[in-house]
Amino acid sequence: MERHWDFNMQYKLKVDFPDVPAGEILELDDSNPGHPVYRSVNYPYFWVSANFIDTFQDIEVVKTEEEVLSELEDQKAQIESQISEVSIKANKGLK
Amino acid sequence: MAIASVMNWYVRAGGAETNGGGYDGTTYPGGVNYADQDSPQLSLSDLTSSNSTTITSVTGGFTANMVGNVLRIASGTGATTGYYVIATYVDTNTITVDRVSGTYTAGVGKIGGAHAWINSYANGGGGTQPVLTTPLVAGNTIWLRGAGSTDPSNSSPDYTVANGTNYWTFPNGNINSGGPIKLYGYNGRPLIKFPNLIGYTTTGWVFSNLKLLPQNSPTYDSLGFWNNAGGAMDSKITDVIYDQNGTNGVFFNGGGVRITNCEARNTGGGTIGGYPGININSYGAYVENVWIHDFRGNGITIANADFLFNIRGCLITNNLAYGIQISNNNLSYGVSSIQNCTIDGNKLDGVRIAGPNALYGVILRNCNITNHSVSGSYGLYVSTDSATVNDALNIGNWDYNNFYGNDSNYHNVSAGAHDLNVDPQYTNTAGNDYSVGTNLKAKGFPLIPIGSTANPSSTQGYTDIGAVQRQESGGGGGATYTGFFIQ
Repeated sequence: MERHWDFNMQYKLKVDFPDVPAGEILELDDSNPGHPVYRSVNYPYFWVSANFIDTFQDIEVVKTEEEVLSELEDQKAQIESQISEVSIKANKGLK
Repeated sequence: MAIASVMNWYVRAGGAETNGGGYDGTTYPGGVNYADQDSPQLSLSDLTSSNSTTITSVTGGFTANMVGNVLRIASGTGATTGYYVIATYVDTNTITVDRVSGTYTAGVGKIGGAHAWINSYANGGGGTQPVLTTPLVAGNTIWLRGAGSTDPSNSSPDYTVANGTNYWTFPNGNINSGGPIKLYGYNGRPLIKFPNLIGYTTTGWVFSNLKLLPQNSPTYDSLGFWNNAGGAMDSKITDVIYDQNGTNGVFFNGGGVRITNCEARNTGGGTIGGYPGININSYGAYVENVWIHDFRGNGITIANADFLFNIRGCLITNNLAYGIQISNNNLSYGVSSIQNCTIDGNKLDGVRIAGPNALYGVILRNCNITNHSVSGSYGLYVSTDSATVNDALNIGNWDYNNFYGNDSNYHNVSAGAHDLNVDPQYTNTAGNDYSVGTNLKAKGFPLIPIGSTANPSSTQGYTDIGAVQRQESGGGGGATYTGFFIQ
C-alpha cells in the first residue's frame, strides 16, 4: 500500500475534540505493525490513522520530519555526551 | 485497482474485526456474498505472494464463489496488511486480488464473515482503535444487522458502546466523487446503545433504519449521535428512532443536514433540562415528517441557522420545554419556513421566537399550535419588541395557523388574517393519531402539489392544517400519508 504519511512528523489539534482540547500534540505511534497512528501525548486514547493524516481536518503540522529527526539527533548527542562524561569520571574513579 | 465505491461492508453482532467483512459483486460479479455471515468462509495462514496480484496457498480452499469477497490480510512478514478484493479464481490454491499485497510466504488472512462494529472503519477518534487501517472509501455502504424488530426493546441492544472515551472519526463521503457513505440498518432496526456520540468530524454520510439509545455522558450529550464540530454535515438521516431514554441527550446537533421520517422520543422520563430533539446551530437544515415527543428539552431549537431551515410536516408533542424555539436566525441567505406542523401539548410555549430576523424571514404556515395549557404558556411567543413593531416586520409570514387550547395564543404579535381558533378534533392523541377533524378540513394555505385546486393533476383537492392530513373514503382529505409515524 502506498505510504501517504511522513514518518516522525508532529501535529497539533486546531480545534477542541470531545475530552481533548485544541493545541494537543499528536506524535507517531508505530507499535502496531501495518497500522501506524498519530496519538495524543496527554490523552493516549485519542488517535488518528497515519494513513489518513493528510486528509484529516482540524490538525496542523507542528514539526516536520527533518525537525523531529534533528531534535532526536540532538538528544542522542546529548545522551552520548553524558555517557561519555560518566565514563570518564568512572575511569578516573577507578584510577 | 483499489476498494471501489460500490463496496458493501457488513457488521453483525456475531462478527469479528478480523473477518474480511466486504463484498463487491458489482466490480467483480459472479461470486456469492460471504460477508453477511458471522464467521469467515475461509481462514488461511500460509498465504504467499511475490509482489504481484496473485496469491497462493498450499492449504488452499479457494472457490469461484469467493470472487468479489474481501480477503483481510492481518499479518505476515513482508505483507502489506489490509483489505483486498478477490478479482479472479484460478484454482483451489490460487486467486488474484485487486492490487499487490507485498512479498511474503506466511500471510494470515480471512475471506468473508462480517465485522463486529463500525469502528473497523474508523480513521481516528477517542475510542477503541481497530487493528488495521480502515478500508472505507467514499460511496461504500455499511450494512448494520439488527435482530429482526423494527423497534427493538431498549433492554436488548444489538451493539453497545461503553461509556467513556468512545467515539470515532471516519473517512468522509464525497458527493462529487464516489458518493456518500451509507450506514444502513437491515433485518429490522439495529439498536445501538452508546454514550450519545458515535461519529465526529465526519461528513457526507447517509444514516437509515437505525435505533439509537443514548446513555448519559456529560461531554457528549450536547453533540448528538453524529457531529461535525460546527461544520456542515452534508448528510441525510432517515427512518431513525432516537430514544432520549431519560438522559440529557440531543438527537442531532449541527447543520447542513436533511432529516426525514424519523422519531425522536423519550421513554425514560425525567424533568425539564435536557437538550432538544434537534438543535440546528449552523448551516441550516431540512426537517420533514419527524415526530419529536416527550423530550426533556425543546422539540426543535434553531440556535443559529446561517442558512435556510425548513421544518415541514413534523409532529412536535408533549416536550417539557418549547415546541420550537428560534433564538437566532441569519437572514442573509433567504427565507426559512415552518409549515404543516402539529405542535401540541408542550409544557412551555408552542413556538417561541426572538426577532426581528425571524419575524421577517421565517414563514409559519398551516400549523396546528394547540394545548399549551400550562399557566403562562403561549401558542406563539415573540420575546422582543412590541406587537406593533413585530406586525410591521411580519407582513403576513405567519398565517393560516390554528391556535387552540393554549393558555394564551399570541404574545407581542397579532393573529394572522386567516388564523383559526377551533378544536382540531385530533382523532386519538393517546394513540398518537393527530389527524384532524372536519373543523380544519381544507383550511390550510394551498400547496402544490399536495392539495391545491390550482393543480390540475391533484386528486386531493385541498390541504388541511397540521402535520397529519385527513383521509376520507372516496377521495378528499389531504395527500395520502405514507410516512413513518408509529401508531
